[in-house]
Amino acid sequence: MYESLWVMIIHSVLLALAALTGFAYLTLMERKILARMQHRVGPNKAGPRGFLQPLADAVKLMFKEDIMPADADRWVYTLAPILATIPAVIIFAVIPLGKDFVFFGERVTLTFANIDIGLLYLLAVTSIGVYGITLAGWASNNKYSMLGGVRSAAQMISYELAFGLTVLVPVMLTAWHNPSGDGLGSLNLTTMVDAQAGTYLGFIPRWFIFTPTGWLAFIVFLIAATAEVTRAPFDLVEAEQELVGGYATEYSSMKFALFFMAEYMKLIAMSALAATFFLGGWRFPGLENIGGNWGALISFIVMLVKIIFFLFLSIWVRATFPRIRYDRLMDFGWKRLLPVSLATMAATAVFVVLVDQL
Amino acid sequence: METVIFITTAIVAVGAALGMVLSSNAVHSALFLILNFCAVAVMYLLLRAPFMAAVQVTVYAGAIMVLFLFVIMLLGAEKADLGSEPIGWQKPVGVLLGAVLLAEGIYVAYKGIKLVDAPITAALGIGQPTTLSAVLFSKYLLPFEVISILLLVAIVGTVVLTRRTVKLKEAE
Amino acid sequence: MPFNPPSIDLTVLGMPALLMAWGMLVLLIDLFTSNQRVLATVSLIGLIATAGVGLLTWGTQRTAFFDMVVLDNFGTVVNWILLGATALSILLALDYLPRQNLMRGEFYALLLFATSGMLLLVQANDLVMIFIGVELLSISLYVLTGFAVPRISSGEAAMKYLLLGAFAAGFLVYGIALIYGFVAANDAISSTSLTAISQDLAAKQAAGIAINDPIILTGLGFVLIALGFKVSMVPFHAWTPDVYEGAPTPITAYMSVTTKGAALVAIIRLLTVAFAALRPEWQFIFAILAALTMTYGNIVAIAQKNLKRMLAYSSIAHAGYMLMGVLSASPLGASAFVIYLVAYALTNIGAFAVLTTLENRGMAALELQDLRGLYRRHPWLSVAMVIFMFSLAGVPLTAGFMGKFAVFQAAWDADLKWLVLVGVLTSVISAFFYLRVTVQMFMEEPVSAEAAERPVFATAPLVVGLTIAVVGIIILGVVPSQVLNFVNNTVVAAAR
Repeated sequence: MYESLWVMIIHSVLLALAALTGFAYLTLMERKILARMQHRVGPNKAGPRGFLQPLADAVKLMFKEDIMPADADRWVYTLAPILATIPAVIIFAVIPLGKDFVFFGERVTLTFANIDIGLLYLLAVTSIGVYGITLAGWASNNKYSMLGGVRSAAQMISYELAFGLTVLVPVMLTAWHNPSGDGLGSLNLTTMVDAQAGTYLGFIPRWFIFTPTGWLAFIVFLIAATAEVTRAPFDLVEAEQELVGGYATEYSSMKFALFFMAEYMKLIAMSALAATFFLGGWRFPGLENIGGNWGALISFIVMLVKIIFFLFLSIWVRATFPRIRYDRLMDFGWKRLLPVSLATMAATAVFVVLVDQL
Repeated sequence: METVIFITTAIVAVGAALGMVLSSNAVHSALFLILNFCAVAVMYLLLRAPFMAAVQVTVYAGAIMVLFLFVIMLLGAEKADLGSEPIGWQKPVGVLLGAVLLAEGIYVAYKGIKLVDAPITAALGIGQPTTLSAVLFSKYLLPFEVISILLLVAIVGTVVLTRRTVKLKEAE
Repeated sequence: MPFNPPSIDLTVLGMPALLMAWGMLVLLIDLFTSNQRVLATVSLIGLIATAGVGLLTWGTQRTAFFDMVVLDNFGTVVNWILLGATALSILLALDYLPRQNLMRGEFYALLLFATSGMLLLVQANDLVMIFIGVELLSISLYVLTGFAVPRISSGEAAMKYLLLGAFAAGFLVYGIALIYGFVAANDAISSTSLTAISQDLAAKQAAGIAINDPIILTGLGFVLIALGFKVSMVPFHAWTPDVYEGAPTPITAYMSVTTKGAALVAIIRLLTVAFAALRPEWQFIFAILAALTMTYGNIVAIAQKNLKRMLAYSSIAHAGYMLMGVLSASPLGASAFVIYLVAYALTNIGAFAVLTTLENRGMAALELQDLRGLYRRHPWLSVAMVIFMFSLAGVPLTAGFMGKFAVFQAAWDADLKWLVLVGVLTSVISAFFYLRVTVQMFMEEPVSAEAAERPVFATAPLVVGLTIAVVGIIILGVVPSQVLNFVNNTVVAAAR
C-alpha cells in the first residue's frame, strides 16, 4: 500500500519542486491576466512573450542585499519566513492529485500521504501558518510591520472558524455515499474524492457542489479560503496605503521572496482543496474509469485544470473587487460568514440523516 | 527507525521545555513552547495516536499559543523584568515540587507495566478517529453533550464580562 | 468499528436537562425583553418545573448513560434544596441588581446554568461527570462573581476565584487520571464510573492485591483536594473570604450554600460508593480536616469587622460541620448532612438577605458597626436577623440546632467522639460572634446621625424570601419530626 522509501524521497522532492514551479508561473499568470483585464500588456521582455519572467525575478531577488534591521530580533526575524513557507509546502502532502502511476513495478501515488486524519492535518497546518506572518511583524521591530502582523493573525483566526466549519460539510456528505458502504463520514481526503464518483441521472457528476447544501458550503469555503491566504479583497495584511508593506516591510531579498512564495503556494493549495472538497478532485465523469498510466495522467490533468480554474477565479476577483475595510472584514467574518457556515453545517447534518432514513 | 525518531523528539522536547523556562524573552518562551507541543505531537504519532497528534497541533500549538503570542505582543510584555520576586520562597519551593514531580514520574514509569491491565491491542486503536468517535458517541455521549453547555456558558461569560466596558464608556 | 449509541434515558437526567434547556430559554428571552421581572419570573417557573420533574421521577432508582449519572431519592432531595436555594437567591437579586446598576439578563441564565451544573454534580456517578459538573458550576460562578466588575473588589474576587479554581481543576483532572490508570478497563460501563471503581477495588482485594497503592491514594487525594476547594475546607479555603466579600451579595448567598451542598454530595458518593474499601485510609484524615475547618472558621470569624467576611468564615466553619456528616459515611450521616444543608441554606441565605436590604448603591460590603441601632430603623428586619444568627449559632428551637444535633449524632455513632467534642466547643466559640451581631443591632447607638437615616430596601421579593427563610427555620426548629422522618426514610432507603 505504501511506496518504497526511495520512491517516497524522490516523490517528495518532486512535489516540492512542482509546487515551486507552480508558484513561479502563477505569478506570471497573475501579472499577465491582470494586465489583460486592465488593458495593459504585462511582462513581455524576458524570453518569448515574457515566459522567462519568473526566472528573471528569482535571479534578481537572490542577488539583492539581505538586510537585517538593527533592532530586529535576529533569531525570530530569520525564523519567520521559514515558518511561513513550510506549512504552505506540506499542505500538499494530503491532497489527492490523481490516480496511481506504476513505473517499472514501483507504485507512485499522486496522494502523497493517504492518512485517516487528512482533514485534521490540514487544519493543524493552516493554523500553524499564522505564526510566520505574526512573528515577522513582531521581529521587525517596526510599527507598521507589527500592525500588519497583528492584523493578519486576527484575520486568519477569525476566518479559520468559518473555514473549519465548512470543510466539515464534505466530511458529512462523505457519509452519504461512502464507497466502503459503512455510512460513516471520513476525514480522509481520498475517501472524500471516492465518494464523489459517478453521476446523477447519467450526466450530472456526483460532486459535492451539486448537493442541496454543498453549493452554499462551497461559496463560504471560497470566501474563507481567500481570507485565509490573505488574497484580495482580504489583503489588509499588506495594505500598502496604510501599512507600507505590512509585515514584510523590513524584509528583503530571498526572505521577502519566501513570504511571497508562501502566499502563492497556499493559494494553489486552497484551489486544490476547493477542487477536492467540492468538485470531485481528479474525478470527471467518463474519464475516471480509464486505467493504467494514461488514466493516471488524465486524472492529474483534470485536477490541474480544476486548480487553474480556481486560480483564475482568484485573479479575476483581485482585478474586480476593491479591498475591504478592516472593521468590515471582522464584521463580515464573525457576524455573517460564521453564522452562515454554522447553518450550512447544521443543514447538512439534517440532510445526511434524512437521506439515510429514506 | 522508531527509536531514532523517539530519541530525537525527546531531545527536542526536553530542550524546548528548558528553553521555554530559561529564556528571558516572553516571545522566545512562547516559541519554545510551540516547539515543545509539536514534539509532543510527534510522540503521539509514535504511539499510534494520529488524532491526538493533529488535535495537539491544532488546538495547543495553533489556537492557544497564537492567542498567547497575541497577548504578549499587544501588551509589549516580552521583556518583562523578573528581577525582584514578590514572594522570595517561590523559586526554591518550585524547584522542590518539580523534583517531587520528577520522582513521582519515575515511580509511575517504574510501576508502569502494572498500571493498566487492558490488552495492548485495545490501546492501539485508541488514537484513530473512528475509534475515538465511537467512544465519544457511545460511552462518553453525555459528557460530550454537556460540554457544549459548558462552552456556551464560557462564551456568554466572556461577552458579559467584556461588553460592560463598552457600556461604561457610553455612560461617561 | 462497531458503534452502539446509548439509550437516551431522560428520566434519570430529567432535572439537570430541563434546567439547562430552561437556561437557554432565559438566554433567548433576554434577546427580546430587558425586563428583569419577566426574566426572574421565567427563571423561577423553570426552577419550580425542575423540582416538579423530581416529583415525577420520585422513587426511581437507576443509572443511565453507561453508569454516568444516577437517579435516587437522596439526589432528588438535595436537588430540591439546591433549587430552593437558587429560587431564594433570585428573590434576593431581583431588586438588588437594578439598585446596584447591574441589570443584565444573562444573570438569570448563568444562575440557572450554575444550578444545572450542581444538579449534574449531585447526580454524577462518574469521575468525568463530576469534573464536568464542577466546571459548569464554577465557570458560571466565576462570571457571576465578577458581575459587579466596575467595582474593583468584584473583579479581584472573580480573578482570584478563577485562578485558584483553575488550579483546583488541575488537581481534579490529574487525580482522575491517576485513578483511571489504576482501575482496570471495563467494557460495559465507563471505567471512571464510581461503580466500576468499587467493583475493581473489590476484585483486587479478593485477589489479594494491596489496594492502598500510592497511585490510587494520590489520585483520591487530588480529587478530594479539588472538591474540598469547592467546599472551602481548610486548608483549601483561602479564596473564600475575598470571593464572598467581592461578589454581589445575592451571589454570595447563593454560592455559600449551593456549591458546598453539591460538592459534598459528590464527596459522599465518591467515598461511600467508590472508595468504601479504603475507608480506614481516608476517614481519619478527613476527620482532622473537618476539625481544623470548624476551629479555624469560627476562631478567625471573631476577628472580622466586615459582615460579609464574617459570614464567609462562618460558612467555612459550617462546611466543617457538614463534613462531619459526610465522613461518618453512614446512611445516618448522609441524612444528617441533608438536614444540616436545609437548615444552613435557609439560615445563610436569610442572613445574606438582611445584608442585601441594607446595601446601598456602590456599597461593597457592610461593616459590623453599620448594624448598630438597626432595631430602631427596622424592627422586623432585626428580629429576622436575630433568628438567623441564633440558627447559625445552633441555639435550640432553630433549624441550626437540629442540623448540628443530627451531624453530632452521626459522628458519635461513627465512633468519632473526639470530633463531636471539637464540634461542640467550636459551636460555643461561634456563639460569641453571632451574638455580637445581635448586641450591635439592639443595644448600640448608630455611629452617626447619617447612618441612622440610611434607607432599608426591604422590597416585596426580599420580604417574601425572608419570610420563607424565617418560617422554614422555625418549623424545622420547633416541629422537626416530619422533616426528619422524611429525610431519614428517603436517604436511608437510597443507601439501601
